[in-house]
Amino acid sequence: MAEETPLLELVKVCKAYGDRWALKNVSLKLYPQEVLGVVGASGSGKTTLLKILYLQETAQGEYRLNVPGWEGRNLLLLSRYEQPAARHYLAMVYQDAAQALRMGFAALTNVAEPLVLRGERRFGVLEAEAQEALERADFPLERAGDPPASLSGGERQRVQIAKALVQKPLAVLLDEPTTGLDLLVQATFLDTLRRLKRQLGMSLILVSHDLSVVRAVADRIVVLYQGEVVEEGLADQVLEDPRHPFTQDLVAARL
Amino acid sequence: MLQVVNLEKRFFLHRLGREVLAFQQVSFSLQAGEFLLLEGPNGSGKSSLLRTLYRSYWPTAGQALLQTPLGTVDLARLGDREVLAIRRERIGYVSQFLDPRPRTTALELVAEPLLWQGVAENQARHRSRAAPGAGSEARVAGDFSNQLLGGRETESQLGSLSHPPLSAAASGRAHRQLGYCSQVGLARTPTSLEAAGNSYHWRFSLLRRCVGFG
Repeated sequence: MAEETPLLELVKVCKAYGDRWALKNVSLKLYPQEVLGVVGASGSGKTTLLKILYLQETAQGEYRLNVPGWEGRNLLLLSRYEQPAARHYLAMVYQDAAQALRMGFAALTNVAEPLVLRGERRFGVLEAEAQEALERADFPLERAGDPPASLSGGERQRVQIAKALVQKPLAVLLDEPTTGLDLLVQATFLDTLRRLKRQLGMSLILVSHDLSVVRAVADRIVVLYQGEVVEEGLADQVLEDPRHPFTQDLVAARL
Repeated sequence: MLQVVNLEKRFFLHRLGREVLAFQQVSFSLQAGEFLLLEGPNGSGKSSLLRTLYRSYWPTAGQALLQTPLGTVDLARLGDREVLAIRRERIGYVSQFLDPRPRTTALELVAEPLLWQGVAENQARHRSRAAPGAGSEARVAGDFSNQLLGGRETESQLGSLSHPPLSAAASGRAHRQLGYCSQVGLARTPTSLEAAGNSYHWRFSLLRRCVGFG
């Protein structure tokens, strides 16, 4: 079969804080219309990995995006002034919505903000695009005028997703997006992600400590342990036939 | 269509420092349109073999050569991305143990492979109603797939394997050709299997010859 080109690729990325390695030789690829799950225990480097992917942390190694104009460029070598342009291709969804949203402004305003930053000034266009994105994220439109501060946890995550959608990113990075939500809200949120993947061809990197969340949406999984990728494979294969000792412990660690 | 050569699966349980053999030296071949029965006592490795052929388990030795329009591929060696594509288009899996998809109706379950092939939503629904299995029973098609009676559950999964070849006007991608069924023991179901296999010239490969096992 023909070799596919990944949308995004890390090659041997290393990151140290002082004399402690946060990430060691991490390589991964994200392909079009796929969900890549990143699992691991606390302190395994999951969050550091996402920060590097979102260009919020420096690191050694290579980071490439398959986007016209960016071929062959290593994003880890960009100057601070070039980073925002590369970050346009990515969107981040945080566990804590307050990291991404202005909690006192209307949901609709929050979603429209990235468009304003890109120079869109026509009110009608802003409103229509933000509404469409909220609708796609299964956000109840009658609450579009409410600020995230008065929305439920699940609704806030949907506002974050809508804000990501208007940016039409190459990939969406999600950091523990369902942690802290009740089970029903988690389940319907993951249903939305699955549908968006299929309908919009979205590509996602999902970081979670919760294996059932990853199982529900990921196509492939990488397992991080003490900053290294110790196992990667098809989601069902990693979870049903884990081969590394750490992955076996992780899968067995159920209540 | 499928040739399995000396396939083997062992698990290594690190905590226990122990190796477990699921099966070894399994060889057989399967022609298009053929049904193959895997028979053996509990624990002899029947389900493990199916899971290995679906690549939920990593084979530890051997080959599983599948003929596809793009040439012969070895399911035991294929890259993850290729396995995902093969699962989407060529290999289905039906399990006795259901509840894989709560909040999904039988009809949606059956329609899903078509949606992935790029068929429009209303068309996919329409065609799914005609597929064998729960999709064809209007009464239960709208029920959640995990709340159907056992036999119907299995049938709704079968429906998702059995989409007829796409018409010339459609995207032209092939339908699935190979299905694995894990312990389909329900009285109604063999009939559905036959229906699925016979209609649409769809090659459902299960239950016909016996492979000595265990």
